[in-house]
Amino acid sequence: MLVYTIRRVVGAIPTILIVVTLAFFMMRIAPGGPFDRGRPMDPTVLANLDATFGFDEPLWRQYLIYLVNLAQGDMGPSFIYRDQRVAEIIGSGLPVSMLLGGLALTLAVLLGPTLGSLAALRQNSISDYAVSSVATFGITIPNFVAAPILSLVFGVMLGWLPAQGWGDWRQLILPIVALSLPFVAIIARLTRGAMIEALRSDHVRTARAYGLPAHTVVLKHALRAAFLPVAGYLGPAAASLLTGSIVIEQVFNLPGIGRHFVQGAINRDYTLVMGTVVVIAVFVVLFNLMVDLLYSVLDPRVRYD
Amino acid sequence: MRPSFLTVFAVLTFCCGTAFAETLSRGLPNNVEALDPHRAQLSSDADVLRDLFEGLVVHDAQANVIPGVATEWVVSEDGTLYTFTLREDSRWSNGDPITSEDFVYSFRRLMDPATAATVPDLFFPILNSEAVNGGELPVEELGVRAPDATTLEIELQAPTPYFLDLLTFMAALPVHRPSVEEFGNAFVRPENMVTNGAYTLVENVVNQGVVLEKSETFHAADSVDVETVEYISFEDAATCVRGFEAGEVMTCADLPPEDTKRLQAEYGDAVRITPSMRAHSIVFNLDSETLQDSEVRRALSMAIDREFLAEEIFAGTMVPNYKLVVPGVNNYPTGSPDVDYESMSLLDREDLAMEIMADRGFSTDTPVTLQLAYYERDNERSFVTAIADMWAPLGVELELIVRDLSAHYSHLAETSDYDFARVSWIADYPDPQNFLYQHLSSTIAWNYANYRNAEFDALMDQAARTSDLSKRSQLLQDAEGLLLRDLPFAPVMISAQTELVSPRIEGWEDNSLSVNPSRFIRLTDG
Amino acid sequence: MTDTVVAGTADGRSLWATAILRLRRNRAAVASLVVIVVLALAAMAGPPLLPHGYSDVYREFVRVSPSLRPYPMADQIEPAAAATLRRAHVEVTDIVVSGREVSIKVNSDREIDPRLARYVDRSDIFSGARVEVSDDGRSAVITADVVSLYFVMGTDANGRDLLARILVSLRISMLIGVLATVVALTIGVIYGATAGFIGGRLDAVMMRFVDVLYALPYIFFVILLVVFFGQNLVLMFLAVGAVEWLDMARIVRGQTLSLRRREFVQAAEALGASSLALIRRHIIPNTLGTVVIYMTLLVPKVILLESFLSFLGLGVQEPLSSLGVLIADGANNMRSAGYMLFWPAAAMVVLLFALNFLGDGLRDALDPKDR
Repeated sequence: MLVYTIRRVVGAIPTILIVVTLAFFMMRIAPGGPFDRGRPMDPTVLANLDATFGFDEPLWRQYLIYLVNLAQGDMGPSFIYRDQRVAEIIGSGLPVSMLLGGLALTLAVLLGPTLGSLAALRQNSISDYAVSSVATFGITIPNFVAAPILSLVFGVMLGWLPAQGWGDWRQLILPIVALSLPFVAIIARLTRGAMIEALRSDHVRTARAYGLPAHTVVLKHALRAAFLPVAGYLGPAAASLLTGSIVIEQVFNLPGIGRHFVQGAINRDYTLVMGTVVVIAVFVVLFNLMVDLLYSVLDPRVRYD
Repeated sequence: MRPSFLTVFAVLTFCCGTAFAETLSRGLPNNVEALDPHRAQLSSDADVLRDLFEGLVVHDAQANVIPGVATEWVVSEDGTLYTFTLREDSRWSNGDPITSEDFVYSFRRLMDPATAATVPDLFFPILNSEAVNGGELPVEELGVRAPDATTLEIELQAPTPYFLDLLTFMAALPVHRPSVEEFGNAFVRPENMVTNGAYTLVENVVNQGVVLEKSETFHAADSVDVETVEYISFEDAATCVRGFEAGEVMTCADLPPEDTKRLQAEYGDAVRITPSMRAHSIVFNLDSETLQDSEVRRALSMAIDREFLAEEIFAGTMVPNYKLVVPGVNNYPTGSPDVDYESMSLLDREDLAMEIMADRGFSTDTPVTLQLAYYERDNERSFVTAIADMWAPLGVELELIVRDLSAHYSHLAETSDYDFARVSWIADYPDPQNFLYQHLSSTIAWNYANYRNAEFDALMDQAARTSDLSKRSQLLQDAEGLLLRDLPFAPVMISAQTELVSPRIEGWEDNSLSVNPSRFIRLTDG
Repeated sequence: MTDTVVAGTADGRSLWATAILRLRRNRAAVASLVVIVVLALAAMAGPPLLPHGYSDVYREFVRVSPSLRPYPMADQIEPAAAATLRRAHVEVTDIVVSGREVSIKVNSDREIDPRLARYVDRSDIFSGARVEVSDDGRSAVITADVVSLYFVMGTDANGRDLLARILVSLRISMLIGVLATVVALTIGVIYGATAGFIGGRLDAVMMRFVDVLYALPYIFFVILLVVFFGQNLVLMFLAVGAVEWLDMARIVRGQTLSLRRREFVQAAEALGASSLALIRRHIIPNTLGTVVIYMTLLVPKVILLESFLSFLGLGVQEPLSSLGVLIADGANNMRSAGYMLFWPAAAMVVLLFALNFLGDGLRDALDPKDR
């Protein structure tokens, strides 16, 4: 297990390298650049900008320079936020996204399986249908609809919570709810399906036949087996939650890094997008590793050798 | 007033979570991208910089040019030498005096190729500036000199009647030499930044906003009412509107057009709609076979129902426009020439347009398919859909090609692979020249219509060398007349700046430049 | 009995035949199927039956609210008549509305041209205008019929019938939902099962490839697709399928890792079954329950993702539309024209509810332990 983990961590380096390489060339082949913003640039001015940012070098050299800098922990200057370095921008935004994402993830991991198990234990009952219906709403109503409605109802109409902004714990509540909603729904549905299967499996039946208390059976055996498909989904889901959501950050005006992934791409802020790509890649690799380790905990038959 | 009472009052208001009385919270329609005056570009940057720095001349609450660091100035007979006298009581926020050397340094920094400034080209009227920026001359050759500590001379290449307007632009603001030299690019960080305006920088967070505090060293500090200004960046205008309705923000800009009518109904005078200097148009690519015929272009322009677009699609946040130069510019006493079809009824225009097109063999039965390139933003999709509907009776079927903004403009600049293209242009300075020079044959990069007209070029060149304002105006009017005849693009609308301004704010004067310096604003309890 | 699941069991009925039989007994699932079929039929055959085409623009009726009564409403007729003639350089002295007919009295200092009727007829609101000019030629009475337009779900920002647009969107969104999901499912299941089954180094490489795809800036991938291939529906399915199979692959691979070690799989392997046969006959059928559930989650994701692609120039373009685009437009208009969000969202919710119950039924029907 330890060997496997070490191997995976070392193996992450080429993975991230490939991501960086592909992303670099994809961005640079795409039309448009950071200075195509509607107000056309004077050729002299553009030449100065190109020289400053190294755009006058051949692409492969720019790539190598970027790699060398990245290896030293320098993600370069932002092309749009001209006063700042990418590392500073990510350094200020990442904690915000991680806090929000972490809380939303916790909520989803607590609430999702609970609701899912509840529905599975009372299959085809009212509570099952209720959970199914709520989950379907959660999945169907996109967050660009749900989030503004939450802000409107609780922030503007009722005035219970701030409608937007960052800085106070009360400003966290609505974004977390909006952020976790689809994840709660998806996890609940995955759990329900897997739980129904698990409850019918032989070892749960056996456990029941032995007269073990119902909650022990559910918690120890059924839920454990049911968590398998959820875990598979959770890796990438956690990575995406913790690296921010453009919609939630925009609707609630939060200074996270989720916006840079899309807004940075629209602005062609190559270095900033690359910075977020690296962060996302690290999170994806990390969480998928954690999930893979979790598999062998959930099901001891799973071994990596 | 007894201080103890004040303190108690302040503590009370703070503890109970109501808005802190002295804080003005302004919603910006964009992120603040840069606070280095020479590298900034967006209007959001300009809003913040206007509070932080004071240039030679500044805008007052109505956007009139008034003295700033310079108390008076003399322009030479031929219009090419400006001599400014600086005020003596001007201080940087760290207490250093402001001298003419600061301005010399700042203009040199602006033009220095190593700075890679964003829009130094606006100041290319300054003698030798283009050569300095191109690296052909050393910065010392720039036509900005300091004969003594309170006198600044700026020498121009040619008379530039809008030069004072230019000086209100953020690129003309002074920077504090010692801190730039000590901290390099980091001089804009709150802990390093030295400013000379009504406010100093306290905090600046990407995607969140900027906090400013009143500067005690500012020469007019006594007249500044608001102690703390909080600029909050909103990429999504609907969020700002919700913040305003929940009492969390006092102003919002660029309101969502589809929500404007509701806001007007609910908030009345708090909704401000002021025509701005942003012109919207549809470019006709003159390299496109069908569009080479100027009568076809005329017919297409005629058939656009501008009132419908402005009133229905953009819900009154646009003003119909038929001209190139927008109303409200300076130095244009003659005004734009008339457009004959502007006064015709729409039905007659449509009939005439169909007739013109039918003569050339285009009708609904024999249509031609042409491509319109546009970019994704706000109501653009509804806009181009409406245009397609208006041109369909003329026998023009539009194929709509959408791209993101950056890809759109690079497509226009680098290819000629479009028939029509959606463009908009914001004036850098309120002068007719700023709306016309894009169509010079020499400006290949942003002459999206590929328009070449030697007569037009000659008129523009002559205007640039004329210092007599009324003669210059006549020349520019003739030039605009040529464009209106040839129609390299169809002018369609002018944006109105839409703002929500809390009734608590006094001294916020609507103006076409959307300039509202915080130093002229007072907060009331109303 | 052990965990054994073998497709084509003793009584000779195939997995699918049994599943269909059992599905037919599940009432909620059957009802859902009916709803889906009805929606599909409405989307396919509905638009031509409606009074308005999905691209017909009514400039006089931009963003009008849903109503069962015909437009123009009685109180709109008079101002509309006045507005129509404002362009005609005559003075309107009186407008009388009686039912769906209007008569307008006009004066002019010049002689009135009977072709005035043309102005009235050109409007979307009036038809069959008749002009009676008085003897001195300076005044006239124009009579015209008022059209009756029904917009039961209101109109959009361009003045197009929302019902027609929803139906045509449903057509596209259902197509995307089905095709992109099938693409994502096929790739994801085969990829995941292979990686999980073979394991070892191949698994590691295959899963690192998935990690790479997760982290790439998708938006540039889309922009590049547009550059190289232009606007194209097939490409859109590809683009959507290309991202959405990743979750599927991870889930199936996780399940497979566990199934791989189960007795029945090992037994079949010991009996000499080939890897391909094992994956096909043992692994995949046992993951189907989860796959079906995930599929019902995938469809809304795919439908909404499409709107994002449309904004970047890939995907459906005006005048066609999709549910995702309509919902996004509705979200922008929710404060001032709530119905623009409500109706498309309602269509989406109904579709998804049906799909979910069908999915649950299908899952139960496919459950190997329930035979």
